[in-house]
Amino acid sequence: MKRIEDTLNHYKEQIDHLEVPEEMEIRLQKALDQKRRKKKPFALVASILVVFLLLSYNFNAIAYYSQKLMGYDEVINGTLQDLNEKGKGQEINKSYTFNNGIKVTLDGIMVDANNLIAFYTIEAPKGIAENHMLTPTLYIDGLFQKYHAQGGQGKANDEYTKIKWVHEFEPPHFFEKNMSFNFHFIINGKPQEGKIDFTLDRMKAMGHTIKQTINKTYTFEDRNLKIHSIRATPTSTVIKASLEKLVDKAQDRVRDRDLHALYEINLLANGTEVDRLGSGSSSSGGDIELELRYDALPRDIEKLELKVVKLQNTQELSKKIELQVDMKSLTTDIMGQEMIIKNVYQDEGYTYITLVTEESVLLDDVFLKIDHVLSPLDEVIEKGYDKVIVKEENKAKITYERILKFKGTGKNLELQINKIVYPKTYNDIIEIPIK
Amino acid sequence: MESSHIIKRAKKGDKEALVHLIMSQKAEYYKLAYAYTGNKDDALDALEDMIVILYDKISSLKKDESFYSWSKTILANCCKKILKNKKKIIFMDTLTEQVYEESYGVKEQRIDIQNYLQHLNSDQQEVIKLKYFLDFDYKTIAEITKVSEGTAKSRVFNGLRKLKEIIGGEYYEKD
Repeated sequence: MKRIEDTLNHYKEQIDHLEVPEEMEIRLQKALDQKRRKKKPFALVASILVVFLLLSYNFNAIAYYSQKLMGYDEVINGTLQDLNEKGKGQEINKSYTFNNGIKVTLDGIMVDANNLIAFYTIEAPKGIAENHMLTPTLYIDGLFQKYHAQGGQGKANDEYTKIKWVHEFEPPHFFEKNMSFNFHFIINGKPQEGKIDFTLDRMKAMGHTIKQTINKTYTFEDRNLKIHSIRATPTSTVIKASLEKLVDKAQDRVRDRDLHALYEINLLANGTEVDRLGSGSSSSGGDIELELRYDALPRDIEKLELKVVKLQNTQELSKKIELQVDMKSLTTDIMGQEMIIKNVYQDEGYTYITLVTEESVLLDDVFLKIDHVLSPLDEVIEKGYDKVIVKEENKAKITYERILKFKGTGKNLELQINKIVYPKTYNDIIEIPIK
Repeated sequence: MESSHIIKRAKKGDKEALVHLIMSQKAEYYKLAYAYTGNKDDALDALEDMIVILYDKISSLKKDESFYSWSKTILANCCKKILKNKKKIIFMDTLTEQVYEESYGVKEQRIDIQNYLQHLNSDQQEVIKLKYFLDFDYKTIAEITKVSEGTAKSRVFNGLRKLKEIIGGEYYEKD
């Protein structure tokens, strides 16, 4: 055999003997599941908060239903309540009872070009003690596809025997007519499924009030934000946009975490902020596609603007922090972001620094000067994430703790950070032309 | 044929059907991704990118029977994109961290051949990996790389010649 071919064949044998990783199937499924709406970790936490701390969260907005649906006033408010009062929507009022007595009633639905909203009640005479009873897995079955739940909120009565839920789904295609509302519960450790059939009444659907393409690009330092389109309906306003990925990848980044999409973008109608309903992002290689969802627009719109409050971006800097082995925890500020150095220790020729920042803050170009010698970052060990309630601002933030490992030990230590990726504040206003 | 039925379902947006199609040839897909990326993490990333694109585009696939070659072409492109991005990163950060990550736990032999392959241009690298690591015929290579069979052959030939200059020793074109 010739030498080159030998070498090539040797590697071929390695490939031939590769075992397909067990997680491949799950990863493929997950990639597809996230396809529709890949929620940011923080959005996920927020939606859990919505479920459990419903009253404290001002979630002004899911659209809603026909003859006024009774009993939903505490679950919905603002736009939906208003529409409910006006009897918009379609009454269904059909039930399904599981053999253990749990009863699900689909009270009504509301449809427009942005969503299908389901209003339903779960009744459990013996009480809903376990968490999994609180949140069923849901989807609506149409002609060719399943429409998945995108978010929702519910409220239980004091006895925990009845919960009123309002859930948003993707909008049904124009050809859909006969659909079914499906739900799974885990009852006595076994999954059980129920469904309620219903017929969509197109006469009751509300369509849209504004629908137009925008296609304009705005630049934020080294990132482009492109606004594609806006679609406003009686229940919500959806803006589609795409955001260029960050060119840099922070060193401090742990695999599988996508921080490119962190952003805070508000919608202003006639100068007043419209409540945010949530947002989703997905990416397939290139740009990150954003779907920004806001409450319905007020009636007389004269001016519509987007305010880009924060966008994840990179910043070069030169931050130097003096440290000592076994020092007490130290809190410092890096581009207005809090950074806590929890401890510094040395072991077997390495120096370890444990530090905590908000999860969106990542460090790059990091060195440790050990007795006048620069040592590059050797490894980052992820310690985990934590939710911290900031009382002054009345909101929760997610913190990220990790250990930075550097080769070498010594007495005089200086941590040098030359670049960070963090949510930069812009507060720039973009006008959306409306015809 | 069973698979044509599943392809039809996948075309209608059935995610399970799409996953099933890929998993029915999981080794082929995984090896292809691995041959390009050289490690498990990037290979799985590429497969994820691929399935998302397949899901978006499958409705425009005209011939059902070309699903596998079509999807493999997309996979190859996803891999190239990952490699391209990676290259950028190593370039910009001249730090050692990435390099540690790269070489850690990798077998000697592989570093060898991968290092040599680095000296070829990306088109040559690609065809050599497809031809020698995956044993693909020229027709398949031409489909995946979207060039004519003649071009694919000449890329393999030129790639081998260049390898020879670097490594020394003999070479010939394997048919």
